[in-house]
Amino acid sequence: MADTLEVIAWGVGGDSLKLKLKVNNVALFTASVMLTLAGAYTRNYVVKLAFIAATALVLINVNNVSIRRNAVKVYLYVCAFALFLGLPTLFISKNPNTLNSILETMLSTASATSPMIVFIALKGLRGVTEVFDVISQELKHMLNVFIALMPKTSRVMSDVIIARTSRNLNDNTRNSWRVLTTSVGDTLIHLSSLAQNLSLAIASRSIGLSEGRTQTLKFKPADYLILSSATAITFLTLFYW
Amino acid sequence: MKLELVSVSYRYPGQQEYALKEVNAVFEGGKTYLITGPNGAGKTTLLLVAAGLLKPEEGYVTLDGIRLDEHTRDLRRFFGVLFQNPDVMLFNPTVYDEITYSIKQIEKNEGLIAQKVEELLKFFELNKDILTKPVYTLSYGFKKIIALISILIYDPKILLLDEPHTNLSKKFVKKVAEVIQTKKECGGITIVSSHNRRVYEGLTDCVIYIVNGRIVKKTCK
Repeated sequence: MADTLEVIAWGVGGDSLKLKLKVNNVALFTASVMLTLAGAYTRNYVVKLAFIAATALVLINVNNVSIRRNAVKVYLYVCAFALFLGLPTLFISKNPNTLNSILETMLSTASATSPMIVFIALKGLRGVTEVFDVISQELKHMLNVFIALMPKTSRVMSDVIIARTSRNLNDNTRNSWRVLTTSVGDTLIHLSSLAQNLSLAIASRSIGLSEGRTQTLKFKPADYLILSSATAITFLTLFYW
Repeated sequence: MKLELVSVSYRYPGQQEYALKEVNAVFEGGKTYLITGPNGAGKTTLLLVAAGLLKPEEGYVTLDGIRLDEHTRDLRRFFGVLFQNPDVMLFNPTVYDEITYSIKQIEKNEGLIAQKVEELLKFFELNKDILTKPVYTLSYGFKKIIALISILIYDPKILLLDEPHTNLSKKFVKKVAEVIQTKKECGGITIVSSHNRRVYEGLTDCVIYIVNGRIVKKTCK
């Protein structure tokens, strides 16, 4: 979990970037949001599968094992959640199509998640914060704190669990449950203090930020191409396919 | 250069007790100060208030007569704060990004930034390979040094170091001492918070003893 959060916070980014992206984050994010809508609301199975296949192609080209592995994990999480939500209907409803409906929900969830998986894989959640830089530096700053805190959350929790499990001399189920249940609340308490300190640390190191300064939005031809393609695909998917 | 705390009181949100109560202190340029006291005495809070990161409930902090609460953002570049737990300071993907996070906000010349990074790595006898490593893979001691480098790179006039020697190897303890000494010679202010007085005996000009958020004793050479 910690590894996944760490990877999705950063994306391919930095020096490991084999795929040189010269596209504006705002354009890419807007296109991803549009395609998410298309992936979620289309009734066409072929389109849904096409979204997933396109994502798979991008991930293969990313040439980063960690990103690929974690993208698959995200797919597994969302499909597991979709299954978890749909499972009770199997026992409640006597409709023979219930199983199909559950599978359809899982497919819709996977296809709707695909564009954002690509965006996060390439740009990371930090890429999302760059988008907000256009609106407000303060907002970007807050999101950065939030994102920095995510991987730390799982690390704090695993530390708490490991430390407490080490004190279980009688390692029975009851003691293990006691460790797990108390860890949740205590992690939140630890995180509250961590978040406050992190916020102070970022503030102390933000020596050149001035209030109200925002990035100017500059689109290049590639950005317009991505935006117009995404708009066309979304329009066609929702109204024709 | 003079950093002054005037009747400063601070209480953490939701707390009844004051973490700092009517603290008056003057820190002068070219001197090193040690804030010491038992656990929970208010040492870290004093550093954070002095850096303008926590706003006092009563009283105020001034740097050369300018109130920090009124000019926090403009004055921030004069302060370098090393937190006790380096994990809270580090939030960038690689060591290089981490080190250059602050300086990139004020310096646009990438060549100059790279040169400064190189100088600091040389000073701390660190290999260049460390720059591309993800921060979370480093040991606690290395994280602390990287956090220190990330503030030294923009050459703040006032260094506020919270337990800087904890978990450091002998080599790095020596280097930190050199940093403190250099800052002193350059006319800067260094305020170190620690409950271990022995480590800083030869380095400090004044020792401030704090108990329950109040300064109870101050001894200067």
